[in-house]
Amino acid sequence: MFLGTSFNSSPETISNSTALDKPISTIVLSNMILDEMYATQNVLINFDWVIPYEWNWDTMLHANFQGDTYAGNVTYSVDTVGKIRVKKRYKGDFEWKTIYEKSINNVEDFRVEFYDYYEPSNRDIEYAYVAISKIGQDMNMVSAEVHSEFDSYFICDHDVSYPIIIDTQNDVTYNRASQTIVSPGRKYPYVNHNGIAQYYSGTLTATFIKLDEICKLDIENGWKYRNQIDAFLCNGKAKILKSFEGDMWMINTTGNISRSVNGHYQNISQSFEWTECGNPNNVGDLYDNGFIDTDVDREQEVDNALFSYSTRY
Amino acid sequence: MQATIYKILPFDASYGTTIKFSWNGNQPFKNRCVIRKNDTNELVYDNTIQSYSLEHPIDLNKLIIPLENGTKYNAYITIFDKNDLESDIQSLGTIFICLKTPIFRFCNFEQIINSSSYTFTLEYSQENKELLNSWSINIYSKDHTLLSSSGVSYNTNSLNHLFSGFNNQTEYCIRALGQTINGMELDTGYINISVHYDIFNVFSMLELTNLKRSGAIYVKSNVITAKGYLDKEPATYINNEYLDLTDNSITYKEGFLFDGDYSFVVKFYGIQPNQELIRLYSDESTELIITVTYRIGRLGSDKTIGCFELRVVSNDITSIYYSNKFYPLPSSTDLIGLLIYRNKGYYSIKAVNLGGVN
Repeated sequence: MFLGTSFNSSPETISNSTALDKPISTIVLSNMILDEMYATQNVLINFDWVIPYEWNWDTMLHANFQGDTYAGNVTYSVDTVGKIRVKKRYKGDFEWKTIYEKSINNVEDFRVEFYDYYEPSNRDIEYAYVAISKIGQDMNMVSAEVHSEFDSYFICDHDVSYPIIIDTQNDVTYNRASQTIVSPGRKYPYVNHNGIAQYYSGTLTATFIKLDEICKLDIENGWKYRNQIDAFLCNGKAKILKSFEGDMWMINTTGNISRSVNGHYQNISQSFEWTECGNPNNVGDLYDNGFIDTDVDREQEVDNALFSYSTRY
Repeated sequence: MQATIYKILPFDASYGTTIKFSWNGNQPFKNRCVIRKNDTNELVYDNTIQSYSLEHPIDLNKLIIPLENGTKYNAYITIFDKNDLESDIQSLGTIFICLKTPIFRFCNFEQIINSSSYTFTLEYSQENKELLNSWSINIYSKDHTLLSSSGVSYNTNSLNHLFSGFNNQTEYCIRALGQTINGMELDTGYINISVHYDIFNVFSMLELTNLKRSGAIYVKSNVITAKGYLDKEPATYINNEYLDLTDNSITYKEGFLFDGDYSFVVKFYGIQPNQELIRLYSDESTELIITVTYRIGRLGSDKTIGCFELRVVSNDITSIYYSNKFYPLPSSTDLIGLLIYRNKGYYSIKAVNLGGVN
């Protein structure tokens, strides 16, 4: 190094000075006719000058300059996008349902990261990331698929999810309103079905206890966790209850939360009653009960006229 | 005793219709249909057919005066039993109107849809000013199972609906149904459509993880938006393949961060010596500035050779690196590949002549 400058005039020269780890955040290219630009986290010591077309986890930028200057993996930017939405559907369904929406004000807003608790176990589920233009039109969609498979019962609301692992018993009733009327002079009674209400209710009993990262039970602090569960169950908010098999209900708890000691003061079961209060697959119900923050895909009431059309032909 | 004629929906005069009725008397053997103009009572049609059915298809060849679209008529029906005894004719006919078949079709229809969502737009018009009352657009699977519907809309100012959810490489049918204010039924029929669109490489775009012990799906996007902004607009593209920056510059400031080791590759042509080609810098631009300049000269040789100079200025300490040398010098149409990489804090630069551009 001489007067603040180190000269390393050939690739073989060993440089003794390293650049400080300040991240590069700006690129300016000029005085050329540009064909392609590419940046990767890999160190391309033996590069064959063939830039991979496919993006991978290490790709940072890739631009071909074929009519635009985009160097990301999508051809839109803050200039053109007003919102992004995450949509969901069960594989085989047609309609996507928006479960997440975000306004785009800067490039960081394109990043989406969240936990979706509102799906049953043992289903193939497709998610889509959709950019919405500033004039409200869907732009290119990116979709992916995942198979849900959960280990136990879970109960959750918008903010928190609790696993229900130990000694779980869920006694379920399918309710409907009907009435048997015995009429004089008639051998058989009349059965009236009143209204269209049909819903599940039940009583769930389980030993709520916290598991740490290595699945060890936190018995000592079990009392705190039980109190936390009591507060959660009684917060008045609708909840999603789902089983490891595939059942999923939107419920509200009713009545009291009771505890019973199973032979030891630290082995305590809690029991609560629940009643279905909505459809966990219905955007309108999810929104109205505070599970999701958008109802742009709220289901329309089915108009029977549609079906009368269909049957005419 | 009289037959009772059911409501006669509007129909196109050139196609005719079948008039249906009810009858509570003896078994009909023949029926007679009389049609008169509503305004003048002029006889238009008087025809008797042999039929046991309670309907009378209008025989267009037996018309005394051709039916006209836009005109109202009255229809009368009488029944003949096996003794050829004719029933009483109605004192008041059943009024109906002939209307030209409306134009009811998809006006932006494309057989192949190149996206997962598409807005279908209907076109409606009718010569006799018959207004549209309601419409719906439905999506069916190839076997005509209803998949999605716009629902019946009574807003006739905007005849369009966005459907999103089309799977790639899949065939669907689309069909629109409608009704005019006088009850004329409209149907586009089933129309086949195919959906083919490019799917981005999803592994890097949308990351989904099933969390067994949390009862959740972890959703993370890996969408990278990085748009380059030109110093002078509009951009000049050459053959839609190259971006001309000979008198311009492009800046990228979003969607990326070179933190730690990385490689940066640029392919270009048309460079001039002693001009800065690349400038990379951190937010605090005084702390790290990296520039690349094309140099030519003797450089200790008796021939004119070229190379690229990489200058790294980090906290006022400058390091200069040179690429491999070029001899002969690349021509103005030779495509140059330039690679800068940072490996464990040390920078390197390599360049290659990739030959003439196409």
